Amino acid sequence: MGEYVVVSGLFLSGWSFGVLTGLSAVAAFFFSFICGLSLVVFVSAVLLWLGLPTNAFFVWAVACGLPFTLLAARPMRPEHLRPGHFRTSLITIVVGLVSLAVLVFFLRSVPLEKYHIDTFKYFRSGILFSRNETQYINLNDLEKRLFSFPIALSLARIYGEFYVKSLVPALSIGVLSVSLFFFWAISAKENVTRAARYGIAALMLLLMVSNNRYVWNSFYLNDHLYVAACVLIIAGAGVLNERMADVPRSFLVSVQILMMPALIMGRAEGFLLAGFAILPFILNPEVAPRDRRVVLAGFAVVTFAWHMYLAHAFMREGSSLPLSVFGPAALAVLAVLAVPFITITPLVRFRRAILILAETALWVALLVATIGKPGVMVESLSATYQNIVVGAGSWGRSLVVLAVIFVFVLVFCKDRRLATLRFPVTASIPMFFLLAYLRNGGAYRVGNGDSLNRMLIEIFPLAVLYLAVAAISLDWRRPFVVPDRQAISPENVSSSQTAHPA
Amino acid sequence: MLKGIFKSPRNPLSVLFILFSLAIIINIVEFPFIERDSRHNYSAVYKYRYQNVIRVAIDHDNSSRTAVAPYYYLGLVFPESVVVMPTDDRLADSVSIRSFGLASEIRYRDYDPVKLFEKTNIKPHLWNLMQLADDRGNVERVIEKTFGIATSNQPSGTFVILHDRSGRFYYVDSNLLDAQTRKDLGIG
Repeated sequence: MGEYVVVSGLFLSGWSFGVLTGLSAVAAFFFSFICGLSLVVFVSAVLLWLGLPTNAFFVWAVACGLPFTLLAARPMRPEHLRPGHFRTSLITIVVGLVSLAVLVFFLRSVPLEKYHIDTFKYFRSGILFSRNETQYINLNDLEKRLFSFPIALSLARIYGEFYVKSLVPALSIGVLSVSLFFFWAISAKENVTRAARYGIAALMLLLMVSNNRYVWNSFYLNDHLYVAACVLIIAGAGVLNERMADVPRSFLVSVQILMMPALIMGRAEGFLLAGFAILPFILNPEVAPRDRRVVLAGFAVVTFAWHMYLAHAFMREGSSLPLSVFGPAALAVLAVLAVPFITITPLVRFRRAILILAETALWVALLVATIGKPGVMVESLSATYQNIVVGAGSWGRSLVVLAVIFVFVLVFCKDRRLATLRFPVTASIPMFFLLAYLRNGGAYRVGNGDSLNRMLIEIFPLAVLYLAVAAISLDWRRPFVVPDRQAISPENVSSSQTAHPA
Repeated sequence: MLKGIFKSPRNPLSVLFILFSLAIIINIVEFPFIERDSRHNYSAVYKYRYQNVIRVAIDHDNSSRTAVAPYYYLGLVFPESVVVMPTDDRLADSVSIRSFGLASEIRYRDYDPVKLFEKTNIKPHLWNLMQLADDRGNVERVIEKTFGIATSNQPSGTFVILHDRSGRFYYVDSNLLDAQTRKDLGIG
């Protein structure tokens, strides 16, 4: 019962957040669990950064109570008084609560959760967080396991357990529902038949749920899937904003900001993933300048605050600050300074060049590292080949097919609007290999327990969404052409081509 | 529906539809083989015998067993204990005692845990921790090698960490120590 109350609170809180920021009751449903969990992380992050006491129940109560109270207290607009509005909201909530009840009951009856030795390091930090003893978390755990997942796990201390059994499966369902929402909202303005939309949406979901590692990650007690959800939402919300989709900008920007602490405090590479997820968006002149500034400022503030917290922990222990602490903090300062200038014309004019330059810089850094220590790269490449192509990583050969589709789209699809979905995926590849040089473990290794093999899930849902969105694009190079142009109505063409005012 | 999608072999939508389907078919065909070849904790749908991943890990994995069991069992049997341990203890992990062990407080003292062990007879007071384990064979070996819990008939709630010469550590109820030792360690 305790677990059901906790996850229901998260669902209601995330749903309230969506409705408060402008989503319809049904649309808010798709984001409800992930947003609720991220509100908990957001509240916790504020407590940690301000040095205030941390307590799992308090954090949960604030994160759940605040949006719901604000929703209840907001002035009624005429549309809220329509007879169908209340009924739709009620049905949505009931469906959500009943689904959660089934999920919690099932997962508490069928022990499917999976672990790695790292899982218990997250547990340790989660327990200490719930007991307001975060000062005792050792630097290694703080730097490598960070806080998002421990905070999420700590909610189980409310009812006397060590982890929330339905947490990761609920996140997994959340990733699927958010992917479906994004695809549907993006494709709504594209000139594509309804049959094709249904077909691609179904294939996109099937591609994820049929993948062995996706299913495994749906039960694996680790932060990877949560990070994947954050990257997906930050990039997906950016795309919807860029394309002027029928989703309120107030929600899109709010959800991007909401996911920042969860991502940046989720993994050591979280700030880089967040940077990759927002860079194409903040450089896009077709997005309102205020939205771009707000998102960049959000990224900068969270990156700075988290790394200052880390710096404080290092100084408290009398340790010197490593590059992994002051490097991101310096980047955050640069990002703050860039906020007023991010919308200036010369910068946005060279958006494509900047993105290419950023990716090239990562590959050059990898090349330099490889020249310095070629053995690490050779071993990592060999292990990754074994894991992905030969099958040692349990991904199955479909990842090879996926890579082929990815290259096909990169080569033949000319649609530049896809950059916001594509960039975080392609920029992450050199970054993942660079991490082999920065971590203590050295080169990646063969087997499904390898770090890189497990990290790939962080970009997998976004990669699949990218391919699904590319599939409905009309902008292709020869020999691939989109037939049946007559079917495209003139008004649709104009809506898709002119819907991006500067 | 398919008719609307497959209008031309050069239609990228048709190509991607086929490639997506191919990837899904590969996923489905390979799924059982991946499951067959994966260790239990890397298998996607492996069902354990019981709930609680900590107990599962203690029963199935040496690394989890040594990293988690010595602390989890303390928290299970004596939550909210006060633990007295040597400054810079090389065997017991204070972070795990606070977290999995659910200790309410840790007090660091300068004492020799091996010498103290040798002058204290804890053997008759050792708990049979096997009762807590699900997979007795493996867990028993680890418990014998890593840790033990010894209490008097009326446990005080304060445990002092002692070491034997083989590298095993013990949570010893402060009631089992003599009055002078308790005074030296500042235990009331």
